[in-house]
Amino acid sequence: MAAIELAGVTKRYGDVTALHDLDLQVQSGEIYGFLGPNGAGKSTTIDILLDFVRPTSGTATVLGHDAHDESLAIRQRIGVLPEGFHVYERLTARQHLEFAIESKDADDDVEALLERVGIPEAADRKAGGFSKGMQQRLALAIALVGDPDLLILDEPSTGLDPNGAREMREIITEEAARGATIFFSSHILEQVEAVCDRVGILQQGELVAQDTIRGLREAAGTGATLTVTVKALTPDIVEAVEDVPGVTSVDTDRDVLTVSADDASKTDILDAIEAAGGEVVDFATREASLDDVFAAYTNDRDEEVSA
Amino acid sequence: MSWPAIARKDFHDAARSKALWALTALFVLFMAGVAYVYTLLQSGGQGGGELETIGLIFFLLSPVTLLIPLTALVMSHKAIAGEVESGSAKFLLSLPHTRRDAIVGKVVGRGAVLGVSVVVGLVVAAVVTVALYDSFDALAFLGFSALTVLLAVLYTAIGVGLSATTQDSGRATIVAAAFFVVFEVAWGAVVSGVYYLLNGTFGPMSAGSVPDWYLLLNRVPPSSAFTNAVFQFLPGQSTLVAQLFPQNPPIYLSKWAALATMFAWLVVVPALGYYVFERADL
Repeated sequence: MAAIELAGVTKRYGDVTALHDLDLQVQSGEIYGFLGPNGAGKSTTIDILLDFVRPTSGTATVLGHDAHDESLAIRQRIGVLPEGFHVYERLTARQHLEFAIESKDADDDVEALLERVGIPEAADRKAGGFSKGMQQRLALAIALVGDPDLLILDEPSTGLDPNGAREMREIITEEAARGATIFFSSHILEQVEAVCDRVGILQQGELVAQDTIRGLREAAGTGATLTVTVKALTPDIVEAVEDVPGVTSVDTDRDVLTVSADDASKTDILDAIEAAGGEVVDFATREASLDDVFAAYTNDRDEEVSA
Repeated sequence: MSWPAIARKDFHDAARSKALWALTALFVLFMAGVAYVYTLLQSGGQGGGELETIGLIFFLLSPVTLLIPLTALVMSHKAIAGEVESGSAKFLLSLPHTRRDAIVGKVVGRGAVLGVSVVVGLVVAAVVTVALYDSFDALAFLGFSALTVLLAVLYTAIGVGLSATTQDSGRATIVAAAFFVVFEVAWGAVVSGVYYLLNGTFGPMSAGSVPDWYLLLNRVPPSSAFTNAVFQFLPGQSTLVAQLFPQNPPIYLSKWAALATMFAWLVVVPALGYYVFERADL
């Protein structure tokens, strides 16, 4: 069953189209990374799931409930870390959590939740005095109240230091292991790459790609890059490498070959070099990062737009 | 139906903000102060006039209808708009609360804050009255207290309701101020304007020629409904309505109509706010 299903969702604000005919499915139990540059429409999508915003057309379904008509039933079963939220400055961390626990009719232990997000010492301090990172941790604790079936996290690592971001990822993984579906948006690719089963890339209100990280890499044609240094580079060697199946391009710089390949094996390339009389001094491989994938998609689109 | 949780949270928030204590101090000083000042005026002026509870109540009436609407609007006019603008509404509404629960919870929470402050002020005033006055009419004072608390709560409801019609706290302030000006400051002019359009003069020439609708229209604003309810429920004050209708006034000019008007305000403005808020993109 799909935990989140958007079908043909369009949202217009006056003349501005924030989302254009968006179709998106998040399967139950998966960790789905929702990527896109700022202003791509990620927060609008999440606002529609939470019924903060109503789509101009199309339907949104969360956990089998209509996002607008049955929003209360949805919010009973999900945990949300909103973006651009503001704590109640005069209430303590404990009062925030007690309010969330009471609201959801849950029975969580406040101390345990604060311990889990790493701010047990702040239980009785007013949240108005918290740093951005502590507010973010408090918001995560609120999202975790009631063991939700679905966690919707909007830019969860905002304001967190690298250590905090890592702890956030650990909690996401733990929640997924418990059986929860995780839907989180980010513009930081490493975050998504480290934990996500599947990724969708949103660009100017449209989903330009949706796949596993591996699938995205393959689809974008940015596979591995192999850099080989040979003792003496000859045109024969270059030709031999170009003939290896799966190799997409070969660049040369003095005695260094830079080979891009979709799925050609490293050994095939090295064998071809040696068969052509080349002596390999050094080699290194680099897998395309999600950055490359992301750039490939977003640049493609820019070209389409300008063309 | 999750508004009790929101009301409790809002009450705690206000208690922590010291607003509760500041308001309580204000109402204690005001109510008890007026009760004491009234003793000075009575003994100074007429030289030994009877110090009566009813007299004090009518003496309190006018300042109450100014102070309570103002404090209620100041305290409540950003209840919804402020939360939406700052982003704390994202917490509130990502939890399982409907927007209706948010409005009802705010009305109850903030109404309780103001109500508690007013009650404490009234209790202290009652103590002053018992101590210094010739007599204490407990029933009259209780009736007046109940209507005063109702006025406080209904004006809180008006403030919250107006606040739900906008997501900009600056605009919320303007809307609340406009409401106060139209209904509490300029209402007399509105009624006169209507009379002028119909009759060519700005008001009835004699008490005998006052049309019913003119009386009714004058009783529409919340404070006016409150004042009329106090006059008509408590003994001893001769209102224009009482002079015109020595037997029984028509039902829409009765004390019950005045009370119903108060309850109508309590419901209508929050309902209007809900109508707008429910349809808004946050």
